[in-house]
Amino acid sequence: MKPFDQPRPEGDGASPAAEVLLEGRLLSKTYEAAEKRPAGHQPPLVLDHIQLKIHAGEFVALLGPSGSGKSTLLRILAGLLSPSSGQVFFNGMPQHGPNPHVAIVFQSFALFPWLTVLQNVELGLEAQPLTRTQRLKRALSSIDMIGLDGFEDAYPKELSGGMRQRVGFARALVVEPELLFMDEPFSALDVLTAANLRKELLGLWRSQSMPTKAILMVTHNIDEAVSMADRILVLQANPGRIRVELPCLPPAERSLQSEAHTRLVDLIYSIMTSPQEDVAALLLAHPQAKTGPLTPATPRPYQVLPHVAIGDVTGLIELVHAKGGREDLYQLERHLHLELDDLLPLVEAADLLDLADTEEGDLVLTEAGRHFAEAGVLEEKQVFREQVLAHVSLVRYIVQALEAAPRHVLPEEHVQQFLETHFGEQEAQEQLQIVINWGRYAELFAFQEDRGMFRLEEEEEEKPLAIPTP
Amino acid sequence: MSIPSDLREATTVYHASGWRKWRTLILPAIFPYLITGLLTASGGAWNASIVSEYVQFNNHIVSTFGLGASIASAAAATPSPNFPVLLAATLLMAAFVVILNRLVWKRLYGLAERRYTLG
Repeated sequence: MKPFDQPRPEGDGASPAAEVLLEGRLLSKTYEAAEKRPAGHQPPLVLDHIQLKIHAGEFVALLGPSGSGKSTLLRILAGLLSPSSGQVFFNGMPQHGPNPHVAIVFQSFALFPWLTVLQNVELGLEAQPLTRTQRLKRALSSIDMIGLDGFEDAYPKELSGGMRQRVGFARALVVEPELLFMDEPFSALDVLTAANLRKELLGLWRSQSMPTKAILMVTHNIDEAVSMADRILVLQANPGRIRVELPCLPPAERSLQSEAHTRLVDLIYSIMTSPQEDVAALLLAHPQAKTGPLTPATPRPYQVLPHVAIGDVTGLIELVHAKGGREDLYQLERHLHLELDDLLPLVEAADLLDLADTEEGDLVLTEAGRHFAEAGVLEEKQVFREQVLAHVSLVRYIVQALEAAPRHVLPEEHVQQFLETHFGEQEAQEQLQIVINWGRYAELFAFQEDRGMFRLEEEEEEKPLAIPTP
Repeated sequence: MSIPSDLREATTVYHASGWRKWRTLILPAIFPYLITGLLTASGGAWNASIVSEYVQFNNHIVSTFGLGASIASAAAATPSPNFPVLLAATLLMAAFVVILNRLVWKRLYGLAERRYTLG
């Protein structure tokens, strides 16, 4: 973890000296892998020694790609899950079990379909020592505050997504929690509804009309984090760590149109799209131009292929080429109507194949990438074949094994077993499907689904494949 | 487990435990399955009780008063089965099943579908 030490801008949320409300110390989480692992393999760490503090008065956003354990971290901090090691402190007291001062708003709303709006909201109050009338009064005022007046007796299925999430907010706020946790609260809503609800929530928060002292929001939407939070924690995956902590803009500059907003979004994009690069370098380099391909700082145990079909990568490369060989990732996300979670694997694949590099939030085509985009179908495959052989060790492994094998065939189990020495059973299966997709596209090998066999593609000319040594 | 994890988490976050957890989460969530189970079990139980009202064993006949005993004894009557009683008892049994379905099970299924369907 590399905290980004920079003085907090004036007028921005809590001062560093503010009371620490919640603290996570050295939180780690492993999911005990059900599959057998070869000796010496640690079970994968979902969270790796996370340290964080939430101060009174601040709105913190946890931002990270899928698989970075951000929802797991939120659940540990709320006491819904216990960490494998480490401890959560609330007001300095170690916590065990669900924290009664935390309320959660869920991505899926988590409303009880058999309870009316009013009953759903009252649910949170039932555990409190209140009379029926007091409970009803508080529930109704919460429903009022969140704009659900008139819907008290409706059942959740009669409501639109936006109204349902309002019930989620009313149910959380009615208990007057000291900490409000939100797990991707707007990501199941359409764009306009989400924007509207964000604005209303910020209004309530800034006007201090709710007694909540701090908010923690998990999101994968960079815009959302930049426009709402006082402080952003960026998580990385495999293992989940806090990569960097960024102070946000003063509230006045958080609107979507401001230049500072765009710069910060770009910076976060560049951090999230280059998981191997030193964050300090990215922070220093910003906003000045920086070039150069990504160099992995620490080699991974075994290359992980991003979960993408190759046709989508081709589409991305061609789109960037059409935009002049360089395009802002943020623009790409909008242009392609993709969520960041869907775009990142594509960018990762383009980077892995050395068809493109990321530079401060832009995707820039490499020489090979330009060649690929300009080429016709056959030549395109030739370029792809070269790139995939040069950069993807699993493809290299399969081709070499096929060349060595009698009759140039290889059973799928062989590759599956090889993969299972590096990945869990399920991930090995997925890696296998990806490499089949890529290898077929490159026409390096064929795969017969029914027989479960890899077969070397017949070479038209008698030319041995040039296999660069890694 | 068919109870969605987000609802289970919400129950925990809002501190519903013990009987309140059964009332707000578990019983409503399993209601449709509970009804199916009750219907199957009660049908089977009624079947078994009708059959056991009239047992013939080593030339001994053990019987009690009831619909099952009436049907079985009418069928076993000598020299020929008592067809009018057989018909009447069978019709009565069918009518009882239809009425029970209409009044109880159909309503419960409707309720399960209207209110207690997840997702």
